[in-house]
Amino acid sequence: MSARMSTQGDIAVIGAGLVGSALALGLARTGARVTLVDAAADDFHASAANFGLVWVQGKGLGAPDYAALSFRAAQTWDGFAADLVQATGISPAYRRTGGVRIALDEAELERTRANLARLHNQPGGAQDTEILDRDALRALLPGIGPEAVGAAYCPHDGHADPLMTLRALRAMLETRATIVPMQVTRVRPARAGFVIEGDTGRIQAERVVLAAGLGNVALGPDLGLHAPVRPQRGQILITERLPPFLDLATHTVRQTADGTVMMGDSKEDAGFDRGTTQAVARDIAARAVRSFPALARARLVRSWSGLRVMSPDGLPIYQASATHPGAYLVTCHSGVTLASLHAGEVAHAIADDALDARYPEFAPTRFEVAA
Amino acid sequence: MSKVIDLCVIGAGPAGLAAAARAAQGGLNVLLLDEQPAAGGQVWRNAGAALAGGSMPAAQAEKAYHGAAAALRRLAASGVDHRAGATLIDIAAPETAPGPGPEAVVEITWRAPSRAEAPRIRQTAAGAVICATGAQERPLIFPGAELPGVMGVGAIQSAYKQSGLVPGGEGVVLAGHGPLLLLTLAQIRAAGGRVAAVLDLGAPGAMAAVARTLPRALIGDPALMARGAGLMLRRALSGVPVYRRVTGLRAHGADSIEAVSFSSAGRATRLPARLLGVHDGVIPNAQVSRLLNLRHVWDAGQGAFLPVRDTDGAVAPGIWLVGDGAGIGGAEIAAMEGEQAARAALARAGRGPDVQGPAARHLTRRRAARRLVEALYPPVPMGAYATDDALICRCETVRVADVRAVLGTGIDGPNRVKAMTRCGMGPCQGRLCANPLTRLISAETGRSPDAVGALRIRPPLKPVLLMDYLAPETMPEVSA
Amino acid sequence: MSLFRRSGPPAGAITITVDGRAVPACAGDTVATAMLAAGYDAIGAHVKSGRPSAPWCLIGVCFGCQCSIDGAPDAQACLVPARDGMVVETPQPLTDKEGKA
Repeated sequence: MSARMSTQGDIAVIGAGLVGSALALGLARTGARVTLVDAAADDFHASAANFGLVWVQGKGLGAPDYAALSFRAAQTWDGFAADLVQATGISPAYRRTGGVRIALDEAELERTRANLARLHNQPGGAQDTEILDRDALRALLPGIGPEAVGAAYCPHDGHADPLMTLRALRAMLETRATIVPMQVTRVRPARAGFVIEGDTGRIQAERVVLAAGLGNVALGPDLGLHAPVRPQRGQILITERLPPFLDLATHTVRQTADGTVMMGDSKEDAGFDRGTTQAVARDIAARAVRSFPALARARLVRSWSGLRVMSPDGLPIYQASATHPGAYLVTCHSGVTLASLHAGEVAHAIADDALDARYPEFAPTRFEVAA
Repeated sequence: MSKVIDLCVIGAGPAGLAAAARAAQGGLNVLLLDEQPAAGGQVWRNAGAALAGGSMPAAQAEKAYHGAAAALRRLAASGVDHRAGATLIDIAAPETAPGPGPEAVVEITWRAPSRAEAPRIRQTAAGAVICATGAQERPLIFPGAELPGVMGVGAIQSAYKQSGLVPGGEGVVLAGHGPLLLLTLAQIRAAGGRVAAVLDLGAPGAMAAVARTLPRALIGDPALMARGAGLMLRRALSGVPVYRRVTGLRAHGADSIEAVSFSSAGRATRLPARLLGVHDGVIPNAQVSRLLNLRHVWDAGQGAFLPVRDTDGAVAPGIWLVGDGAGIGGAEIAAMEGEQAARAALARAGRGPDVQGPAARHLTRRRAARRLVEALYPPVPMGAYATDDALICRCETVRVADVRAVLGTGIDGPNRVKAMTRCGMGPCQGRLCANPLTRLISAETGRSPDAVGALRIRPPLKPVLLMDYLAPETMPEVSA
Repeated sequence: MSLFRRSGPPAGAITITVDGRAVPACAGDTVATAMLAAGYDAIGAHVKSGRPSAPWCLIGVCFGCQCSIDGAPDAQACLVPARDGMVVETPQPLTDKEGKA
């Protein structure tokens, strides 16, 4: 559909990555007429660069609500994935395999252990993450290398294929929403609702959700929405297809349903530069080979960078505009893990105009607290 | 990283050989990296051995390798450090290296041919880089194309030049169009081989024009025509059944090709086939120019994206792209471009005046002549044989239908299609599907190739064993 | 019967080993041309389907001839000069390799 003709809908979602697409699906299921504005030319940015973990363990230290949110997300992913497969025949390849954070020396293991102990002392979230010693880890992962001294194991962790998840969401939205490709330049309040202006035209909607990742920074202020997010670069390496050897998810290495092995978990502040650097790539590869020595004989096929959408405390930002009712902002760096909730309870909260009431702890007002 | 060598030349075909030798003669120390076992590129593949009395008869070698002997002698005398079998893995352009300008270095990551040569991955800091990575055949998309026994006509040429191999026995079929196809036909027949049929997939009348245009198209050398190539080609087709107005091309077989079926002028035909040589022209090998994230413009004549270059081939401070890898022109144009870039590199290093060589005017004329040739051999239209069940990405077994299925609102560019289908994610890293994918999307959506764009290319340029990747070492001073 | 035959004067005879079998070759061959001359239709395997794959380009582009050579599992046979005593292992495709060569 061309954006030149003004589209009138109940609600427009700006951003067609995993966050925007999941929200759009959830909103469409509530009966809303949804317009999904796809604002990135020939790219899915963060969603296509994602590592694909559905991850619970270690999340939400000092933020019990985030721990609980992640846990609920993992618990609802099975149903979310089943819905996508049933409706589209496209599998997001979600597997709730359990996940391990591998420690390659005692200091790492001690840090993981301390973090876990602190998490256990706060309410909310999964409480059954356990520390595995060397032998227990070896029993769980026969391919693990001799340097691994232990790990944290959480049975609720898993992994999915972010691209197939996005593809399935997209296929569902083709018939449930109006998708408009448009580079959005501005969203402004209008007499009745909002006007979304872009390179190919304008769209009117009664309500609007900003789900444009790093793009939310520029779009938010006109609507009284505040997203102090910054890019954090993560590099990912991927190998050729290998015979299955690693079912479990780990936080640095995972074998996809296709057999390829992804390696990642780097964190760099590099602005908006999506380039790759060999120094970081080698660190990632070195850790992967130390974890799983058989990978030494695997072929590295490709590497890429993605920009995580990081808030100051790493938690999602869910906000309803106080000054412009009907305008919302949703952003997070865990678009895969939280996809099941974005298509479910979070979309419902927006539909009910209860986003700030139901998620007060994820409002950006938390960043305004005096130091 | 501090500069180790003055100039790195990548690719030892006509362009790279000319560039390396010229730069070395001008006083630069030059590292010449080439993936092939011996210098010469594709047009002069194995020239050194063949001219010395190797795999093919001496008279044929002289014809096939016109110009090669001089280029190889010049290389040998130049003091260039030539590394055969060296694979380019990554280039970090000056914009990501410290400060652009004459002092900037380009970081080249490459792989030595053997695991015995530890460390296998080397990093070389070069003051300048001339990329001459040559051409590849344009894959023709049709069902069954991935079966063993279906190969590019260029591969048949390659086997001939490397080892004197000629298709033998029954069931040899050639399908396609253009000079290389007819040259291959002539070579097979000259060597006593049989070709069961030729399927002419080209523009009407183009096959007959080959004899006029072949010499220039291939190596730009009028002298070759004088030596009888034209006559050889005119005779090549005599006695071989030629099928025209071909539709519905399909290769059949279980583990290798057993038959080819098609309709010619509306009549369904099925021929037994053990070897199907296919040719739809050649295109630049775009991996380097895409890795460098250069601006490209679609060239309708070549049916390919070409990197946008300065007149001397420069694409960035200290980086030049020359030869067929930057736009198909043939060996003579390639060599001239190599010379020109080397002169520019010398000037930049303060080793000579920044003047265009005497070849500049000649180069302009040659390029104009090349355009006339291109007009005769436009690429086979994308829709001609690309049925739903044809593979567009053989590595990942992605069918044309898979691409068509995801194309829709907002999914209309190669990188989104790649994300949705895995097209281009296999070991060849898009070398075989990038050009067809742009053309397929263009045909399906009605948008221009420029609007559609191309697959992004990420390092490493070739798959690398992790154990090699983990042990790189900065190359020590080269012996120059 | 081989798809290809040698047209030129005989070059120095060498022997390579492919999947444990001695294969005659000539000095100047690449591993890929040596195998084509010896009657191997396929050399590699398609990474996804596992089906046999063959050289399409013979210039290092298509990866149809990817195999293990002298223990290096990432070789492209068309880029590696054949040397006497070289050990080649082809990926194991879904189909039986017996009766080849």
